[in-house]
Amino acid sequence: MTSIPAETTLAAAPAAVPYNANLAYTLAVFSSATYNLYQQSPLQLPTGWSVTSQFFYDDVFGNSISIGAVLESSTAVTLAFRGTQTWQEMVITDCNVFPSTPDWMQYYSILAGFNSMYVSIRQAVMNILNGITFGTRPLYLTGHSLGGALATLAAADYAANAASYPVTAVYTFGSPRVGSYITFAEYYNGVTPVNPNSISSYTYRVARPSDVVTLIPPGPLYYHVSQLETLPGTTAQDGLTSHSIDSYISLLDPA
Amino acid sequence: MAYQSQDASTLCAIASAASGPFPPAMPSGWTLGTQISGSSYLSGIQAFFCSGTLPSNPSVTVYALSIGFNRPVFFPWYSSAMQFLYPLPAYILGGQGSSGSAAFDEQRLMLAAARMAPVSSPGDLGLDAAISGGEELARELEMLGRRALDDASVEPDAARARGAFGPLIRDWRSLKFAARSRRGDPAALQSAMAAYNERIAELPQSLRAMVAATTTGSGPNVDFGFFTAYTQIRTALWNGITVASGQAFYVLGHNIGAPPAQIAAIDFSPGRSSPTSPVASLQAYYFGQIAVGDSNFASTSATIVPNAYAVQYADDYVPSQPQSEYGYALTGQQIPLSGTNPDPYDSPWWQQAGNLYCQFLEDQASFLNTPTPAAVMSGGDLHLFVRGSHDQIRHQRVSGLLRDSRVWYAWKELGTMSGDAVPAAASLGDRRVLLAAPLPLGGVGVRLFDGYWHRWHIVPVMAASVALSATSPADVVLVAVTDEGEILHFRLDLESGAVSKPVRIANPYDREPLSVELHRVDERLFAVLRPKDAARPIHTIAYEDDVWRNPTMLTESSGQPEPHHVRLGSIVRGEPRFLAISADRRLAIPESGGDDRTALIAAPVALAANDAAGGMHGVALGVTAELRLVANLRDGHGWRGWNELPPGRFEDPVAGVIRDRSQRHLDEIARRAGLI
Repeated sequence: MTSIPAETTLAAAPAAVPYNANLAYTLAVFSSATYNLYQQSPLQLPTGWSVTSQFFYDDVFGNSISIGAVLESSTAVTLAFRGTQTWQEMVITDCNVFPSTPDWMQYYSILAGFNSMYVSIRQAVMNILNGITFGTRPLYLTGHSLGGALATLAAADYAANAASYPVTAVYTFGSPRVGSYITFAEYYNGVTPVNPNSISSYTYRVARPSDVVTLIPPGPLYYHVSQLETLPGTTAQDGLTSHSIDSYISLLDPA
Repeated sequence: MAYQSQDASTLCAIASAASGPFPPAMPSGWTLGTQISGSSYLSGIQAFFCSGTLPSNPSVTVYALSIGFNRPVFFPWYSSAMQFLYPLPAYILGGQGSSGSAAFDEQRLMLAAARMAPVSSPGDLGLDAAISGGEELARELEMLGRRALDDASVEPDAARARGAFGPLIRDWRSLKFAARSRRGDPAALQSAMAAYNERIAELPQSLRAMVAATTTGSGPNVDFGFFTAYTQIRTALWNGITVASGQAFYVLGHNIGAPPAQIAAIDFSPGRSSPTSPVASLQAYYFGQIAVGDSNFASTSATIVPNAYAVQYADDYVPSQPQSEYGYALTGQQIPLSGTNPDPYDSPWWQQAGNLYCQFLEDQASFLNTPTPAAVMSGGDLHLFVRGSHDQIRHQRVSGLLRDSRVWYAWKELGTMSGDAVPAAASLGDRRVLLAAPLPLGGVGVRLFDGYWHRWHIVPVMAASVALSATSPADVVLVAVTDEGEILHFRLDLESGAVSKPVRIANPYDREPLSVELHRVDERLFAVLRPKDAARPIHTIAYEDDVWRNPTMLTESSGQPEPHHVRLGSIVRGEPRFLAISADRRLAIPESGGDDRTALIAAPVALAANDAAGGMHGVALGVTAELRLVANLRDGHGWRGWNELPPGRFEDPVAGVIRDRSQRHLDEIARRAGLI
């Protein structure tokens, strides 16, 4: 029998891959870039990095909507997902908190809205990744808000289905809860909080304490996974949600 | 009552506060009234009444209702199953609508609420109640369910819903039992939860069928979920609105708070027979509006609430799509809000934030209604003075701007001034800058900087606006507009400390709030008088060519002869041409050929120029929520277009966060991470 632990116990768990503040900052910038791609506004990426692929979901009217991208350089590959942009995405994806057991990872209960979005792009993303020659380059997964949930699901998917991608680290920013404790969190964290061989050992959930999205959906049935990296501080962009990726980038700045 | 841009920032602050923690923070001078919030409102809807004054009419107290949501509660509560159009009941429309009795609708909504309660966290209502002690919520569900099942008034339309609801109650009880008796047994909980969620999943269709069966007429339709949320607080709102009897009343909503606010605006509009609203007049301001009804609702709203305004920031994607494709339509008169997100990193959550709306609205109001931040060129440096927090004057020095675009700047607190005035500045050659600002203890302080700051020289006049011009520290002209509307002209000698007796200049605006700017072209001095009411004409006073030290107003021009002359900056040498900013925030430099070059800039804006090196250098600075510099470098007579200064490291004047958005900085961190 497994008892439900307090969420805070995850933070003290051992880490196979140490948290890297510089990596966190840069991946937050990549997460931000996926918003830019949706809005078709200019990107600012580190020198040598470029967007090599985008992936899209079809909305209810058949429009292709950019939801993430693959960014590459000679040193690494990053799979980045954006968060919620529109009211319709909130209604259809974020507000759909029914439990769902995905086809790609049976026996595990996750939020239906996130699963639906993930399933809609899953094959397209895998097709893109399958076409990449990684060589020695690591693959990083990242995302903000809804994008954090999608990055988490992608990490779980690739681990569960023994994908050959060299996933080295997963960094999420302001991610909501993704799945149930009883099944999904146990799997992701490796039953005991953050088994060194679990996905959580290389996954960092960067969260501001005042970020309201990290409280959604309410516990205790749904549960955060991975190692929590608390981000203290305030910014001028906090508003009432403290959720913007811009504020995360500001507070993550290691300079 | 027309849209009041100077009121919008205050109203936006009140609107967005309704989606924050309670008790909400009130703008200065506003009093919080009845608050409506709590866990009993399953949707997370919350609201408050408040009263205070607005800039457009500071002598009249107005009342406001602001509606919002507790977001962590709202998002799990709302679902796509609730996003469908539902006839607005007659009791909201005051007898103009269709669709059944109030009692019937209330009953139907209670049934809907019961169906939605479990959705708030699938399984949670039972499990959460059992584990976390939320028995009150659980009892409410049971009570609602019983009433829906037992009440004959919902017959026959609720038959299908009842068919699904009964098993739901049973499964919920099973879940509670499993949670209590086998706490920690994953298999038992999973099994109970699965059965429970299966029942929940059946409910939306039953509910839709029930609503469809009872829909009659073609009256305005509203979003079912938001309307249901509104009905949860409607009784409390009608109890609370009595404080506003006979008063001017505002209904406010931001983002997800705007939909219920649109319904409330109709519900409380005066002049209808049933129910009778006690307020004397009603205006509605929505910010980042999410549509709540169909086009029929929009037209009904336009009729019942003609003074409704929807302020929409262009980069706020949340309400933008695809509402119309679902049959939804925005209400109110659309007020576009422009503004530039000062950061290269896009963030839609920031773009929808109430404080960004407020900031841009404040910028807009500042742009139209207050003097420019002071900017002055001195040699190759540019000095910018703005009003910081707590009425502190803030100074930035931008070095080498015209030479190589290397930027060094840091905010520095220089002193405190009073009220909403901004400082004035003037150049004294290559190394000297003059600053003038109203001081809180009375008088205008004038300060000289030539490598270091000299002490304040005090001019004994309580000023609301100041302007200055100088040829040397011994020859300074200062014009001050007093709180009483007097325009006073002084001559100063900062070396001896002498201040001349004031000379009064005729004020063509009587006692309207007014700002003044001074501009010097060669030996000619121009005073520009600008009322805070942007719709009023500007007056330009030209001093006599060689007697500008002796202030005799020679000419006076009124009106707005050119569209650009809303904001006057510096004057190009030779004939008095202006760098000017128009009301739509375009900067123009009239060229000799008559071809105005324009560029869109952020606001508020400061302009500075000098005529060093045989040509004109003009610089415009847009100061937004943070800081952004936008430079127009005009080298000689050639137009070099707009250059955005390279993003640099600066201290956010609001939050004190160090932000460096330069490519170099990004590359450095990426390099440290091993990504380059």
